[in-house]
Amino acid sequence: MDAGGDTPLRHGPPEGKPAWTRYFGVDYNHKVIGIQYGVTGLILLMVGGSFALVFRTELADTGISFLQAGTYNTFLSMHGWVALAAILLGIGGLANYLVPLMIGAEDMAFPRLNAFAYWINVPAAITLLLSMLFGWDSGWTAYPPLSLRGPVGYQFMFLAIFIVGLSSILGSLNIIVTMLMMRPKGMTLFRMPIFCWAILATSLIQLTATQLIGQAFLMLSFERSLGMPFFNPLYNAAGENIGGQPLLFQNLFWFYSHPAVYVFVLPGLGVISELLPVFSRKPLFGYRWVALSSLAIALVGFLVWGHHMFTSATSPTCVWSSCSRRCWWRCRRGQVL
Amino acid sequence: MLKLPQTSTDRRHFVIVGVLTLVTTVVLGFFMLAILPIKAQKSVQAEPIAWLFQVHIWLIAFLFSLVVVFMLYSLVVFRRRKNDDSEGEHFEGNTALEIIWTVVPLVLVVIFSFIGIQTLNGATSGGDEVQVKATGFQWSWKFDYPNGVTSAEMVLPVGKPALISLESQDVIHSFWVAEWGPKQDLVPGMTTTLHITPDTEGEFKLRCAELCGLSHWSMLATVRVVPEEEYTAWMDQKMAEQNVQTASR
Repeated sequence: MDAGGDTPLRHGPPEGKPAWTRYFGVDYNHKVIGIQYGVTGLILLMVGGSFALVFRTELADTGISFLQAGTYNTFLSMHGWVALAAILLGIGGLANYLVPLMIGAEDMAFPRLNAFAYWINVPAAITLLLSMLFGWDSGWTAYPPLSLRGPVGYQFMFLAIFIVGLSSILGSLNIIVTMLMMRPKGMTLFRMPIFCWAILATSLIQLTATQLIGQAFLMLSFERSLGMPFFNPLYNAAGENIGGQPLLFQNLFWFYSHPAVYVFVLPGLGVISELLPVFSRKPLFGYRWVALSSLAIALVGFLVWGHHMFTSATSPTCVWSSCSRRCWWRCRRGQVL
Repeated sequence: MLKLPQTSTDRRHFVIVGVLTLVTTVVLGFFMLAILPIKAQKSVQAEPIAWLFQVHIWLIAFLFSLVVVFMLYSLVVFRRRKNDDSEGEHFEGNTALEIIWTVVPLVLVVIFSFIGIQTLNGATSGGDEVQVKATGFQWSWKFDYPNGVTSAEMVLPVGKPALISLESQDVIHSFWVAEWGPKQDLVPGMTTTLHITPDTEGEFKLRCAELCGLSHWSMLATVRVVPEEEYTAWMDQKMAEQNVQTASR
């Protein structure tokens, strides 16, 4: 397999081996990769769900029942990211399996990249689960300065999420290119099944927004290990902050994590919009509107991350700057980034 | 037994669905207001928040009913009859309807953003007749009054606008007295502020509302809202205890 060579497209089981083995090795077929994504996602979902069950059970009674405070926080924080990674993988599974079939493409545009985007999730998931051994306790949001102070489990988590994010970016790039370049003649964009529109909107968010959280976690990681002062404030002799700004992280984090909500919901809406017409034997009502509103959701989703920061020191009135002089005053004092 | 209209174009369907929607809205609205744990409003700032909450609950009750009643009614009344294997009518869409149900929610959102901003401005403003500096650290609180008095509990006179400035020594914390309404983070490296005018006497629990590490759950402090005279007496006593010289309060 030399660089630049054609990717061997293989439909059917590998030669000389039982058919099931292809699911446990690197395979370029989009259906195989889709199933790999889906099954890994389900496994992680069960792990994350078990974490949730553990700490909810602890909450059944007041006081400490069987978890220590630190262990409780670790379970709470872990279940968030494990379940999130699980959903991302599940969406990757649906998109990989269905999109090429639905638009009539032979396979994905970049089959080898597709396999790569899946396989980096395996070490990422292991790294994420390993972080449990050392513990981390900030909740999935990992707000600094808390995440800069806690146990070394944070470093594992940052690395794992960075890799999952990379997989998300590569996978969505692949899907967008497939959808735009590999439709056969006659399959116009507005003839695509509605699920493809949902996945297109999802992929656009994943391709762009994920970079922000990758960067945010990389910055956290560098601040922890190399002491780069991005987020933790430092004071000079006069008591002024000459160091980092904790709110910078919150802005970077929510700029991904709010649109991520639509990454999770849009494919679901797409699935329902496929299933209902089939079982009620009617065309989808307002197909073009549903398709365009999927894109609109993706767009508007980028503009509203501030609502996760109402109790932070930002002023939501900034958006309505004419409403409030206080906002200008706050901006001048550097309270709004 | 009520005889339902027989054809799908009959206007009486809309009358029935309209009445059902209204009834469901009222039942659902009162039900939600009864079960939702909306805290008693014990500060001037909490009242507009509670009002906005109620308006939202009524709007949600109406919109939920509108969607669900129409859907269930159609599912039940226009279900497939026995031995009816004919195709359903095909609708590709309706541009006028699409525009209406895009524009109406948009207008609602804009109206509610405006009300929200007004409420927020009300809830985050007020006078500063009493000033307290609240410092959060892992995992406790400290309160400093401008005259130099330091305390582990916060005491405020009832009915007087207070300006609480918030500072954190280590990680992000959040100042929250549930009965007072507004919540404000303490961000290291800057001072944030919270305006509160407590209008009910009593003892309240101040909780940290931002996960701040191992003992976050125990980061509590007592807040007492007392009559003016009691506040003065408490302050005098504290000043005597702590040998504070300046009398400015």
